Amino acid sequence: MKFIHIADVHLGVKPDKDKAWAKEREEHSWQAFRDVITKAKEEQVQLLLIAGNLFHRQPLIRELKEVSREFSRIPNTQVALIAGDCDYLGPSSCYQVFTWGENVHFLKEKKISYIEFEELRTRVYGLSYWRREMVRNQYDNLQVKKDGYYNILLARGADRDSTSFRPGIWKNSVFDYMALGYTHKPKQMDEPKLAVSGALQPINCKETGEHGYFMGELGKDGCKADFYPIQYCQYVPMELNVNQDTTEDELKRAVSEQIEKAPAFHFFKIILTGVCPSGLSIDTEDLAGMERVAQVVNQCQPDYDFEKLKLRYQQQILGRYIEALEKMPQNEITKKALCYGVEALLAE
Amino acid sequence: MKITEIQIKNFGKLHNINIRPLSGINVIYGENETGKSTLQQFISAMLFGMEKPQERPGKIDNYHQYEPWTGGTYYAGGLKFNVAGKDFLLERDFYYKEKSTRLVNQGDLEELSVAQGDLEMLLGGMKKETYENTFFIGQEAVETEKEFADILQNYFVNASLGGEGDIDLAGARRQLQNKRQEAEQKYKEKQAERKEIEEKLLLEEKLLKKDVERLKKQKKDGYQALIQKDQNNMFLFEHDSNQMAEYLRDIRQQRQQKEYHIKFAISLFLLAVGLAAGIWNGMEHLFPSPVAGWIMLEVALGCLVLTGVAGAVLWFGKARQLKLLRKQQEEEAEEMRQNTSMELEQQKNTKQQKEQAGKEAVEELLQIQLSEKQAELMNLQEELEECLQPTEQEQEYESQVKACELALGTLEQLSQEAYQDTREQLEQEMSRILAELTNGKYNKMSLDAQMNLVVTTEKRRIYPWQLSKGTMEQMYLALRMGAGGFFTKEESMPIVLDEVFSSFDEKRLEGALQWLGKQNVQIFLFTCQKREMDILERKGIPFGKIMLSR
Repeated sequence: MKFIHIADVHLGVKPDKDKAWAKEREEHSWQAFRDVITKAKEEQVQLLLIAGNLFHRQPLIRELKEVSREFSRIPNTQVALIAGDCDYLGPSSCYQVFTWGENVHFLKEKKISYIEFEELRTRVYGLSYWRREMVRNQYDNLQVKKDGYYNILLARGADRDSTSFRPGIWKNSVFDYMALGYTHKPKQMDEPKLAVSGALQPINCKETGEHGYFMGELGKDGCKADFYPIQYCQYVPMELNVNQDTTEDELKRAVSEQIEKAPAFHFFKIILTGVCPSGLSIDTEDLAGMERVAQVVNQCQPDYDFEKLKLRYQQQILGRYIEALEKMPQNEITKKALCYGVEALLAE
Repeated sequence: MKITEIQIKNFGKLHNINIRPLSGINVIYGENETGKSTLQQFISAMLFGMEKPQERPGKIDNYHQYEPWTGGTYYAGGLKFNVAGKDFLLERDFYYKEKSTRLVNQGDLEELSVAQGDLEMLLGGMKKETYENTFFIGQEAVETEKEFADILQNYFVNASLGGEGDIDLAGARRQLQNKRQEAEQKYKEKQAERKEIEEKLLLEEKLLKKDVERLKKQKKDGYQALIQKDQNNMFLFEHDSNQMAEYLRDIRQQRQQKEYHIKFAISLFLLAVGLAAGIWNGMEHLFPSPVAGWIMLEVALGCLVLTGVAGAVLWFGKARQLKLLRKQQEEEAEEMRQNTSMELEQQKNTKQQKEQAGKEAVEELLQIQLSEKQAELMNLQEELEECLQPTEQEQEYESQVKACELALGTLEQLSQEAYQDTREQLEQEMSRILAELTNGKYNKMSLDAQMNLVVTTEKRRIYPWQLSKGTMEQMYLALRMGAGGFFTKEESMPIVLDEVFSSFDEKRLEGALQWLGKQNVQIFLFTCQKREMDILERKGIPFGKIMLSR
């Protein structure tokens, strides 16, 4: 039996809101979703598993209609889906009033339930989010019928549930495939039958790396599943090493060179590392305004050897200043204050 | 340092002037516009140099102010002075194209390097700003400026914490303040951007809420009320028309029947009258002998009786007919009423069913619309919540502002801790000078955290501007002299006083001059009055006299 496993499509998400390509990015989740449907049609996939967060927020009727239209393109594919923490199934959710096509099966029960597909000799177990926060340990002590059917689990944990949602412990589970929705990074956990499909497309520039879906087959020899990337957008970290003599123009040139070489779906998250050019700090806003640069993170540290400075200016105000700040609880502000103060005191 | 000779070659209005001051008090007397200020500036320019700044319209700088009046490029002078028993000659050309400085040790004629800082060393490391704030008191700058407080702080920090090279505390503070201001500006910009989005979202929320309320209300009663009204109207109309017709007919028929009854009664009456009259007539006039006239009457009466009978029969019949008709009509009407009500009942039923279906459809539609709007509202509220979170950039700028504030606060605290001792020493020195100047009237002066002057008298803290101008000037003089002494521990610098005592009364002036006379320093006292010289002469204090004239 052929299946596709997706999660975290986040239809309706608006990434890179303040960028020139925001409109384009808004379309990506829909385009990627349609691509998956097309793929399912082409490959004659029998089961489409959606492990939550199909929508970025509560779905609107018109959006559900649009999705339903897409599902109607694959009448021979059974669709099983659950609601996630973003599009959870609240009492006034449009999921409650919407009528799906015959091939779409929404797991709406408040406890784990299953749908049986006789033709496919498959059962899909699953549980939708009823609230933003999930009750803990929902998946413990799950009883599964053993009668030659394929048993599939459609499960979901939110990022913040990391303490209660530990799919790793299911390695030896009775399920034949576990289609998980969890972090946005696609991942197979040691064996092909336990996979987090990640976001179909990244929803913000922190989500670097490839994104896509798993497609596989359940057969007599067990489970095979492979990752298929979708390439409308991929955020790529670009680390740039800065030293005392680096100028802004040089940085810009280096960035545009790399961008030119990269494929068009690559968007960049620039990370500046190394030593701050003394005196003048780099204007990251200028870099952030460049084409296909999604974010600039400045991790440069000023090139001060505080130990040496302390020793050299031991009984003077500079030495005392360093000592005083080092005694404070270390956080972002005290660290910054240390650098600012030393910079100001050493200025000519 | 003692200046032994001032050689003005060409400087402002002064040219070719040689002055050999004494090592103690020198009174430079001249009326207005005789070049006193020029001479002062010449001394400062010789000691610390003078740069030609970029020309800025509307601003007068020293270079341009003292450019030789004679014009040309000759803009120079010389200064002979003695430091630690050694004589030096300093020559400067101020003209910006040929700027040069020469410093020669006159003992061994060795030429020293000003660029290498030899002159600075001879001046005991004193900088121009420090000098101009302490020993060099111009007319317009009687009050110490803000800059002076900074200089004092810098000095104290460096003096108390020692070490190689000076740290410019005031400069560091300014830099941090600028940085904070910049970060704050950016922080506010970013915040404003977010607030703008937030406001837009809030407006959208308001509209959506209204929509949701409207839909809820419509769903609850709006639709039903609409249907009810229609139904009632329709019923009323049908009912009304039937009844009205019947009612009108009924009234008409009732009236007719009454008419028939009256007519019937009149007929009976005529019949009775006719009959009675006929019998009476027959008995009286026809029996036994009938008379022709009376027979005629009898015939007429007979006719009357006949008419009465006929009328009675006719009207009675009509009345009965009408009665029957009415009864029939009533029956018919009843039947019809029954029929129509059944029919109506049926109609009503089907209509209700239809309506029910319609109502359900509409309700469903409304529910869908409502769900849609509610979902939109929820999403919007989620977005709003996200919008309330400061952005990463905002957080970054905010932490920059906080870091600057922390740095400034720490520096302030450290420097105050550091110069506590030194400050106390200075305060003692100032207080001592003030006591001498005021003959003990004021004997305690101190500096607050910002290095501003405060006087304590009888447990009250008074700032100088709260005192009389004369007293205030005495204090600033004490502060400058005291601080100046601090700055020049090794080699004292000449003191320049320009009209400093103009607000002093006789007694105060005496005190001040006596104190000056006791100091082992060179003093240049610029004045346009003769009273200083009078007092010095009267008190027998030696002084040099330099008279400037137009």
